[in-house]
Amino acid sequence: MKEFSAVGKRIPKTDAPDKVTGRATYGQDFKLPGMLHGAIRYSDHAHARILNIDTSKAEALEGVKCVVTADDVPETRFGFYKDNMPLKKDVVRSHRDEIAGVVAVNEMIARQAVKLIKIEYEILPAVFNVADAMAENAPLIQPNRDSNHLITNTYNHGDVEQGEAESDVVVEVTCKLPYVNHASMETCVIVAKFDHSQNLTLWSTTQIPFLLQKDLGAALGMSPKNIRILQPTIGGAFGRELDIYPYHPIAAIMAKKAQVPVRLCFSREEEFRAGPQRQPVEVTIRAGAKNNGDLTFRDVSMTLDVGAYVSWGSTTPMVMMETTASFYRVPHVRFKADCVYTNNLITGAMRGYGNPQSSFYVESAMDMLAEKLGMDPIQFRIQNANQPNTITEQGLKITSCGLEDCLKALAERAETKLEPAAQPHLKRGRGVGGTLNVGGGARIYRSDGCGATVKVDDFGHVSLITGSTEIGQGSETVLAQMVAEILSVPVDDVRVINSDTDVKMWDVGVHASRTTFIAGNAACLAAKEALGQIFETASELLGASPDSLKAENGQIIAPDGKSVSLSKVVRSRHFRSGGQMVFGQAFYDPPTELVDKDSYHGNISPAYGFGMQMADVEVDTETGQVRVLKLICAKDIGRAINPMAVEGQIEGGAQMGLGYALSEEVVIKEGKVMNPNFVDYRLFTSADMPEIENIMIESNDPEGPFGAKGIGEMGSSCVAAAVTNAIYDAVGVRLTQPPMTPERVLAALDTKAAG
Amino acid sequence: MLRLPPFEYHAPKSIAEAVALKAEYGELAMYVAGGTDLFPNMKRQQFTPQNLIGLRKIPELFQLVFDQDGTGLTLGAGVSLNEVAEHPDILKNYPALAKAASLVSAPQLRNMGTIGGNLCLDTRCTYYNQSYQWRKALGFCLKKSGDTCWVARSSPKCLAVSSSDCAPVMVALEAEFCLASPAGEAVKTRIVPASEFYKNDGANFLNKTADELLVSIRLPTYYSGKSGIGWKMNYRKLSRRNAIDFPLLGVATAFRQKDNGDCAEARIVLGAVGSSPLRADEAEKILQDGSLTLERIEDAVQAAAKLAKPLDNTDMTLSYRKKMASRFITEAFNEVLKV
Repeated sequence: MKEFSAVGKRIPKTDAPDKVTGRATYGQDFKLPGMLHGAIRYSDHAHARILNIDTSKAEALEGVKCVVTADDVPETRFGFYKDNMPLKKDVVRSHRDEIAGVVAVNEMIARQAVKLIKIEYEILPAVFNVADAMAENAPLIQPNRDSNHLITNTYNHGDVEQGEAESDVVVEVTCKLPYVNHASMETCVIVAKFDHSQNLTLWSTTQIPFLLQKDLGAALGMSPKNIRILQPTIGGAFGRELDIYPYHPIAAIMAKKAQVPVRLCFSREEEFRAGPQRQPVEVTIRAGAKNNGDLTFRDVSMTLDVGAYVSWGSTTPMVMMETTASFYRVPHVRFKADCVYTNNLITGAMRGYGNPQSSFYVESAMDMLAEKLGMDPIQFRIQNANQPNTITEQGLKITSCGLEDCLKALAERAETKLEPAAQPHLKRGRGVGGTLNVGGGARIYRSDGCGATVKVDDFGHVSLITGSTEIGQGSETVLAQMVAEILSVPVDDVRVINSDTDVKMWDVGVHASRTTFIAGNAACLAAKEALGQIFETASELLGASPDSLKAENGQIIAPDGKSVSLSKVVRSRHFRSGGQMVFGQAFYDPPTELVDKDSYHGNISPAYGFGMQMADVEVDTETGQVRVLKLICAKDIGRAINPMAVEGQIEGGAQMGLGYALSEEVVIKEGKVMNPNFVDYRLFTSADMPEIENIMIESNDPEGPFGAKGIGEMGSSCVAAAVTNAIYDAVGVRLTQPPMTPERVLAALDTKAAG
Repeated sequence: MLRLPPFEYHAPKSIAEAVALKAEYGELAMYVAGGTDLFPNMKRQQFTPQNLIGLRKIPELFQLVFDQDGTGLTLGAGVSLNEVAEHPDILKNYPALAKAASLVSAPQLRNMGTIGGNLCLDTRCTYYNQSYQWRKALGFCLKKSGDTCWVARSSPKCLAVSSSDCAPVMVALEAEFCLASPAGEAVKTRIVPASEFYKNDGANFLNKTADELLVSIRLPTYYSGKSGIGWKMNYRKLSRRNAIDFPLLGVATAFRQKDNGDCAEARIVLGAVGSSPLRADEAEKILQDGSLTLERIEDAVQAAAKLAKPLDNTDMTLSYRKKMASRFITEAFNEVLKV
């Protein structure tokens, strides 16, 4: 294999020094001359009719520039189901509903003024769970609908009844997965500015700059072509910014009325209250296998509370159905998901999408089957593992596939038995859990493409202008490594430009573990085109054919050993009569398809990633506390463009997954968040983290850039599954409701003891 | 993000200057030491001072002096929690205090936070430690601006929970707190035993007038002899995570053992189960002047656990916290007595 100069190297993230020393300009640091500050007034009730809004006291407060309400915006609706509006006029449907906004000289006065807005309500009956929302005579949450039932997603392959008949063992388990929050270090922030021609410029922490242009145009009743979006350094997003939310148009409405730039920045409480959450799910899985260990069927049905307005949470069944249908080889599968409106929080995209949920129930059932069969859980999975170059029943074209290698790596580690605990009330156990994740995007939009331009200047400096977005995942570094590899220049000579919709070419957004793969392929194509131009001019200078040249350490070298520097080639091409610059452009859209809208069959990703984790835990049977001793992560990543960055993704994902497994939950009481702060919402801390071992399986994907596949989401998806299986191994109780808190563990132990 | 409301900051250089400022501004002023609990509460408007009297520039507050004659320790209220946790002489002579201090929140907050601040920590409640808007929407509670206790609507008094890790240890070690207040130009001081400093009322939880300042803590000496003879002490904390969390239950213990291994004196204090640290007198009596049989220990555990009447206003469910009291106290006893 060719030795790479930049790809595969452990390079610290190029933006890391500025971030850790506070030099990076985050959205929250961003200021414009004359900028004022906005604050939002939310609903005081989960469901109520607005009778009157009195803004006079707020307007009279010194320092207030203006107050905005629904009267300041044309009656527009946005969202997939056109069920949301920027500011609510007649009815509020949840505690997150925005009613008015204040623009003032500083954030404090704006927030003070918001409290002075007097709203009279007529309180309406509300529903806070799926059963109540689906009851006869339940209050209707959205107008113009017959019921609160939003949609049913169904999927089938094979014949589940036949599968069950063929089964020697059958298991069933019902799991309840919680709300959790993205908990990005930086809260949502936006600065909006109109120029005199009514062009809107938005500085936003969005993950979807181009789709936001379109959605925002619809929400504001203006043309997307008059909207430009700029992205400052983003302090984490994890899916939170994958959709338009009311605060985006509200910032624009404020800036328009105030006629100056306006900044809107969420408090942590607003982040919990008004931002999206991970989709909670109540799910029952039935699954079977034959005595020889072959899987026979899976039958899954679930309900999803999507809150009062629809965002991406309602599409998580697409991902859960993919895992249900295609993770391990199952001949007969049936899947049904019902999405229902309630007066609760909204649900959105979050790292792993539906996979932390589906991995939990699928892998719980896998361990239950293995136990009934008396098989080793890892060997049972190896027997049923997906294989390279196969097409699943759902139509996923699995090309590279390292699942079996991941499992074998864990089996090898499992040969070292757990040391017994120090005291009799401490019990140790070991469990595995895995995930199937799209490895290079997901065609959920008509295009899953990304554009790139590579230009080389007269000094040999390279700019990659990419459509993709950096949200802390490290894309700037790995994209620079790929371009540097192709052009044979040092990584430091490549700068990645990715923050302006007027400059960069289209990209669908940062999601679905797609940036390394899709933006990487686009960058490589553009770099190759630039290299072609360099070779063309170099061939004149070196008197050798372009095909015979090679690039090495910033030099273009002919077969006879003569060489010329890359920058000299660029200058020679540029500074001549009829001169040309060196620049390559490409748009990469993967060879995938939208799923069929009824059957949900189709190949949505050009590659699929697989990951397994093995958790060693210690359960305190007196207190119910679970300590994770070690987490071994074996991931099929195609190829590590930057092993250090891969480790960062896996370890960061592990932290998020451990929080999902053991400590994090957004607690909601009658639609109101009870723990909207970082004291009561319990993120997994560094003091709780176990030792982590990373095993990278390089399956070298045929379509991926340098063989790479996406790794952004996988790290967080299968932790909870591994932990619940490990707890079962330790103390013989099956926890079905993350987070597996001491109280839940203890209650399960007590139930077991009571027989 | 939530911003701090505006305030005027004063930086007195002596205790006299500090208490004089407090007398001048009265209710409009608050003292600030580390600020790790005060500032978040100001952001959420539990506290609305217009003047803050900073204590950082007052040298007396930072003293940590062991008496020459070995009779005890005087600990300035401004000493950081990390210093209390790591000071070799505190680790040696008052290991329970060092351990309690080391278990408060996280390293950064222990560097800022002070022992005095932790001892005066505001009581906590699910319905109180929320933002202004959150509390306003529900209706203000008994502890701040309202007349309803959302934890138990019939309760005449506030049920917010004492959440200090160090307070139960101070009560168990029978520390004395020195409070300063203005007396004309001068300063007068008052000594209050730790057990009398705390009141079991969430809204009015300190025996301290508004203009008094906690300046120091006086700890008597506890001799620990060789081979298990003498004093043994411990603090055990139940919390969800290994950092950040306030205690769900804290158990401070101090036992003096006789030459024959019998218990000469027992001190057992529970934290985070009421609005003040609760001393388990009954349990102490059971253990006092007798041999430490498993049966007596079990009786003492049950007597102590009776004190814990958890309410639905902190982390974890009621039933869990009820169950935990006896189990966790048992483990706390076992840990210190190495039974």
